[in-house]
Amino acid sequence: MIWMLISLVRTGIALLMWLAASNAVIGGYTKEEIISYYVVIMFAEWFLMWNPFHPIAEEIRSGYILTMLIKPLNYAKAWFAKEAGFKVTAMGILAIATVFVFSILKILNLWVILIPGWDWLLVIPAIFAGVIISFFTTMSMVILAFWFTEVEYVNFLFWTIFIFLGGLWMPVSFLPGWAKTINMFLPFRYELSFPVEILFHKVGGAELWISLLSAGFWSVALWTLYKFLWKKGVKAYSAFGQ
Amino acid sequence: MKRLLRLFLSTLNYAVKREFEFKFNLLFFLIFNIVWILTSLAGISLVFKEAGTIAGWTRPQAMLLVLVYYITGSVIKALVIPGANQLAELVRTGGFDFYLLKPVDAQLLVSLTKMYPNQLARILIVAFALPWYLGKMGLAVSFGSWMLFLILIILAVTAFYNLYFIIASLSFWLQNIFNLNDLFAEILDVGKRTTDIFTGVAGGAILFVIPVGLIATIPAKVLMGTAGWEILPLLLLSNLILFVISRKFFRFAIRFYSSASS
Repeated sequence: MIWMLISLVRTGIALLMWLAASNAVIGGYTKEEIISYYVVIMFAEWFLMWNPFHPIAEEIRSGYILTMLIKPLNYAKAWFAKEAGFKVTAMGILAIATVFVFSILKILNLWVILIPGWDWLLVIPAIFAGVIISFFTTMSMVILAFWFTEVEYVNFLFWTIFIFLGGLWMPVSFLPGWAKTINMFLPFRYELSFPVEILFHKVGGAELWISLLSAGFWSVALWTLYKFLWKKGVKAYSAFGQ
Repeated sequence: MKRLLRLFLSTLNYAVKREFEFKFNLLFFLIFNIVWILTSLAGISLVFKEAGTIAGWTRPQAMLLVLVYYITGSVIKALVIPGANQLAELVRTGGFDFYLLKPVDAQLLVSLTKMYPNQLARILIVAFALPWYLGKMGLAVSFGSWMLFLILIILAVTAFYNLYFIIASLSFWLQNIFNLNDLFAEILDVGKRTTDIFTGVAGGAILFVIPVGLIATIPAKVLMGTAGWEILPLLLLSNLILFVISRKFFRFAIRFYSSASS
């Protein structure tokens, strides 16, 4: 519930900021579009960010994970299912939040501008890739706790980069040209920004297909990386008091 | 008062020593914080490059705002949030019993005995950067303005202390206030932007009720010479009201404490 409140505060502030901006076109987005972008990115964050970092880090640190290791189940699958369950449960609260956000926007005489197009079909694979990349990035980072006592800094470093390159703070179109090109080949953009960019028709032509390929590549690469780290980590792991 | 000061200094001494026990941890914290501050400044720079001005604030002014935010925000994170979080945890586990038994006011004891001194390292970094940046902006800040700047930061810290303790006192009724830390961080984070984006009633509330404007906007304006002493009486009054409410609410809430451990 609190994380939803946090997202609402963050989005509300972003809306007020952009309403107070002097330029009419901002990073290729009109004022109306940029406001719509922040509303959509808030909902996208709720759906696409699958990152159970803290509970897993605690399970490994405390040794509780041993009770999971002796069970005949796949640890990643178990957490994926838990996260999926959480997202489904959150739908109820999300419905309330949606009504709230749209009521506020109506009072402010603002509308979320989304114009359907054929490229919207590609949102489905983009969302699928976003969830996979988000989940396995988190899993790959958190299982470093098999070797290190403190892994919070890895998460901190990830978020420092992600809010910039993932489109959470601002659309990735705000980045300078060279950074945008590099970002196309990094995983951050595909966790959150990419499906939203497709919804707003801000990515097209060759860039769209290259981005889709890149998203596919990172989905497989991070899943493989997780499997490799897991195999090594379980062997290296020792817990006290168990 | 003397006894409380001694208690505070002893706790600070202990917390600093504990921090230095884990030197690599501290080193990583410092490195990541420098990266974080630079990232924030780069983000502001990119946003303002596209937006022009926001609520009349230019890019250099917004960057000054971020530097001021890191001073006030770090003091709050070092001294206020740990105590408020600790209260929620103590009430949940029943550890609050031991605080009630001591011959010191329980609220003060909870507030004084938990702090994160590593945040103070961030203040040191920014304290060096701030005068340099002001010089770069061509601003000459008078002694009086520096004094007012300090007073405003103290007022921001006390206001947030009172506000957070009101929220943390809810733990006497609620079983577990999950993610409280994240919510605190988010409220603080609002102060990183200019609160001039709020107008009318919201503009007043953001200064006097939930005083996010005190974190950076007003102190930054003082350094830029666009705000002065005239704002102080009202801020003192709102701070006093917030203190009375927080204190009374804590005293009221404590009546509902039923120990979990006995």
